[in-house]
Amino acid sequence: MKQVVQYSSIVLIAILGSAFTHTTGVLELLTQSPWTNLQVWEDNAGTGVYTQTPYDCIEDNNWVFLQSGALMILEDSLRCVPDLPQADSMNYFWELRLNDDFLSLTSEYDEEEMIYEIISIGQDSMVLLKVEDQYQQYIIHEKLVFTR
Amino acid sequence: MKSLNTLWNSARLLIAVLFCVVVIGCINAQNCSVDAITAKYWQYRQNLNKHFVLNDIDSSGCIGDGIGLSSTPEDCTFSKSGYGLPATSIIISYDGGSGMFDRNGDTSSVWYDAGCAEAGPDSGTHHSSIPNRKFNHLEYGSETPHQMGYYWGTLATEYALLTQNHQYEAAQKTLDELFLGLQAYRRLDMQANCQVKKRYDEIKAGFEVGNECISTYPWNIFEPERSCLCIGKYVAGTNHPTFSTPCSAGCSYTADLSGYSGFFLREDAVQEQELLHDPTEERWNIDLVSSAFAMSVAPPCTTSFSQPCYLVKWQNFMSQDGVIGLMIGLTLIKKFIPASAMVTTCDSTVYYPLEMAIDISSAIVDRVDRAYRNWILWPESGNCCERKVYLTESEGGSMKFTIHGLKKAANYMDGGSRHSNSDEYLHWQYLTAQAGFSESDNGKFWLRLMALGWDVGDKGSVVQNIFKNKSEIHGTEILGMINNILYPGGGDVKVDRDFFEAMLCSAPCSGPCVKQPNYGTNGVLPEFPCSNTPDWRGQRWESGSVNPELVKNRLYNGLDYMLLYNIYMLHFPVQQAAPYQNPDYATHPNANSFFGDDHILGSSTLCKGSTGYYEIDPVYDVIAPSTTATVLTDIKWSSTSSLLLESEQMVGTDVTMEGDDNPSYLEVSFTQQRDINLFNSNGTPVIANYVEQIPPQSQTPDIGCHFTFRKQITNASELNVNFSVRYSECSGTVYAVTDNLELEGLEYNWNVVNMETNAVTFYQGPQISIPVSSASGASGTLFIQLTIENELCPDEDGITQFNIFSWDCNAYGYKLAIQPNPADNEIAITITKDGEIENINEEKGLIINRTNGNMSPIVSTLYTNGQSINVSNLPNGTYSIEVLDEKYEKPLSATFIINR
Repeated sequence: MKQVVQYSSIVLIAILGSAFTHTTGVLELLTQSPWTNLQVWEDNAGTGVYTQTPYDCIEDNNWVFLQSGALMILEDSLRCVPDLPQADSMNYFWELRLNDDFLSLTSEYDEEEMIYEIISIGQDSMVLLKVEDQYQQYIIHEKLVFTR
Repeated sequence: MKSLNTLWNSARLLIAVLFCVVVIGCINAQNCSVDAITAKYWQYRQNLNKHFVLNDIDSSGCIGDGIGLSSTPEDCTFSKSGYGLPATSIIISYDGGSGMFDRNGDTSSVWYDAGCAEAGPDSGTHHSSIPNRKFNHLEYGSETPHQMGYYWGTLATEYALLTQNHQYEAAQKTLDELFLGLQAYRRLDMQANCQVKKRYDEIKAGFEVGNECISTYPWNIFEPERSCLCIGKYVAGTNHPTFSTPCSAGCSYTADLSGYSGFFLREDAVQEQELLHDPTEERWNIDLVSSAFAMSVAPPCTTSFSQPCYLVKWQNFMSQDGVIGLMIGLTLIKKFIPASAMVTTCDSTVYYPLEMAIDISSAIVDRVDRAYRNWILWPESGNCCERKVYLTESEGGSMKFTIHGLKKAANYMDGGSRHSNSDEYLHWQYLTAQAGFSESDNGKFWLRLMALGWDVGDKGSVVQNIFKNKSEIHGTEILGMINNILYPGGGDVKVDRDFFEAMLCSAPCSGPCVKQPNYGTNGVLPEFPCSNTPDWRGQRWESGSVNPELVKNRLYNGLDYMLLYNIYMLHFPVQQAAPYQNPDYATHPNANSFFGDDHILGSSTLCKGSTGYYEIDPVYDVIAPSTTATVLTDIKWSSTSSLLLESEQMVGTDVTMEGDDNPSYLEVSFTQQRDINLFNSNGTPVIANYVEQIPPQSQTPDIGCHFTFRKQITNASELNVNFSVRYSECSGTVYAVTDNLELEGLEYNWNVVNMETNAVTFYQGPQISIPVSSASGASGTLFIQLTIENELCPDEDGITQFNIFSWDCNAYGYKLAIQPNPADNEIAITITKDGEIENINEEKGLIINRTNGNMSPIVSTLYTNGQSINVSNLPNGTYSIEVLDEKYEKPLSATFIINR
């Protein structure tokens, strides 16, 4: 009986340790500094072949993920609404989901979520795959590639 | 001193109020009953169909297809161009040539071509530069898709209100008209594709090809077999630089003629719409159709040029704002037109308008959604030209900011699950910020799409506040009500009912219009009465309340009022207490209630040979020194044949009941003039402000509110007595109520016999309650007789109707009721459940037995509720009837007696 308890504890600690490490890693990587470049890759034909689509004004935005759960998308030289200063800084909220495999974004104006699967994240780059929900029931065939 | 000031101020206020009441009657001038705004609605509708939209309906009422595609479709000719499109306005002028824009004026211009005005049914008498000809022109253009959206929305909501008020014949006519409106879109879709083909064919034939585009795009190297899509004269200095793209001379393109490609023209009006010309009043005198398409058609235009490129030059292809305008109408069709509602054309083809609307919505939105970054793509340019040709942002060709909202609206239409990519989502947030922080017109796109695509009442406070505040700033207040109607339940957008009622009230009966301060000073302009009413001097939901277009003299189509009225009636259904009735359709199934019957003063009954006096009660208050006689004109009394009228044109008339018809109807139509000039939409006087904007010389009263009212006159000598009986669910009470009008002077006497106990009871009054046994399983039969004693017509006493009613208190709340009709030797069988009529959707066994003599049981089948059984072969006697179904605890039974 004692032996069983010991084995269970080890397994539990292993699971918690793994999750803790992963959460900390994604969180830190996501929030450590702004993401300053964005490439959008699309597979409109659904063939699995992604090609880069130029999306001018959003490509040079600075995405600032704060640990508080706030996300600020700051305009750079290419402004999407040039005559509106309030659009230079747009407020969103972010949240990690399901073992940090998914990233959810919502706008301050819109409770509708944009959900991405985190394909990879490192010091210098992050690749997100747009999905309709965290269960990947519907994939838009769009990848966002962020660099700092 | 202070008290003296207060006293003086009070006195001034009192004087002002007295002046208001006595002199200009401002307190009462805004009285607007539901009758008044309803009559105004139908007056607008009549004006719309008579002066602003030409529909493919023949004199017998038979409807065509509204397209008229030639028997060889590849020819791309349409005999019904311009049909089913609501013109935005009639522009009042002495010279219709002002509607020809670049085809008129400078005779040395490359575009000059007076021949463009030559076609049409009134050829030869239209445009003229001769003064005093007093010619107006009908305006189609960039606003046309918006007008189509409002038109469709008006018709869809009108259909809903008519069916809710049991006006099925009128509702079908409305549906027919809606179908023609949707067909007009399909024709514009086909036309656009045909124009694309035409241009590729022109390039193939070497027509209007050249290297003029090089000046715009110097990096293009002109090759002999390639030409820019449109040459320099169409695109130079305009918003259309992308049309300079070189295209191949060998392109083979087949036009999509489905009508559901999602690529469409804004309008295809031609001079044939001059059929709307009405010579009875100078303001309705239409002698030129003004539109880019009309000015491009050859013939009548004689100069040789590329029609598709001319349409590009005038931006006559689809745009973002037009798409959003259409979606307003499409979503209201989705809301109010049932899938089963159908239209049959003259050639017996059947169409389903809802299905058409869904297909149009999907085609437009999905086409833009598929395109690169949601630009509007010139068809086949990816294969035929050096690169894909997109309409530019300044042409309304980019929908990246709005596609997210458009997809939501399209999902509402077809229940789809279109999703947005990151760019689309982010741009929608940018648009939201733009709506919230600026007064840019882009905010209107956001407001409209929010109203159509989301339940705004369930959104957070930030979005709700933007929606409400910006709706007021942009003058799109109606969107709040539309959103509440499209998304019932949950939270509602707060709307100001008083505001809308004041708007409905203030709208001039003769239609929205704007008239310049110096109008008519040269003596050559058409007679143009216009009340210049604040809020109603433009397209209210387009230009708002603060920015009326004061540049031209115009009569507008009034669709802004019509949509508002219908939406208001649907949003506040309590207003529907007054019958919503198209005056063109005199009969009303609810014959006890006629539109405006309260405005015909006089008795609702007459005895044969007797005479009553009937008089019009004006709808709007009559302000001294005017009298009823001076403010009412065009009075016309009429009636059904049993009534004899002494006068047909006076305010009041004697009416004599001569015949035996019952009921009879009295009708009066008339025009009332009211002065609404001095009031703002909220009912407050705006004299100073108003005079500043519109000097007095252009003020004219609202020239006429037309009314058609009817009143039912019952021939009290010929009362056809009817009553109905209901047994409340085992409550021990049977209710009997007369179906006749509760007329003063009639006495209702009931004689009730319980056939089980032979007890006889007498009752009085139009409705009675008869106690019976309420024990479980109790059953019995009542003999009920109603006699109406008639004090109005003494010679006609003692009219009676009798009925035998049976009840049976079974388990599960089911009841069987037999309603004999001795005259016809039939009985009708009705099954109720808990007092409501049961919906019978499967056959049931039915057995009739004689209980006081020998007879073989009659076995039959009950198929539907209210089914009649012929009992003419049964001899006099007492019978039982049973209906069998497993779901009843035991057979439902009832008895009836035959006693001929």
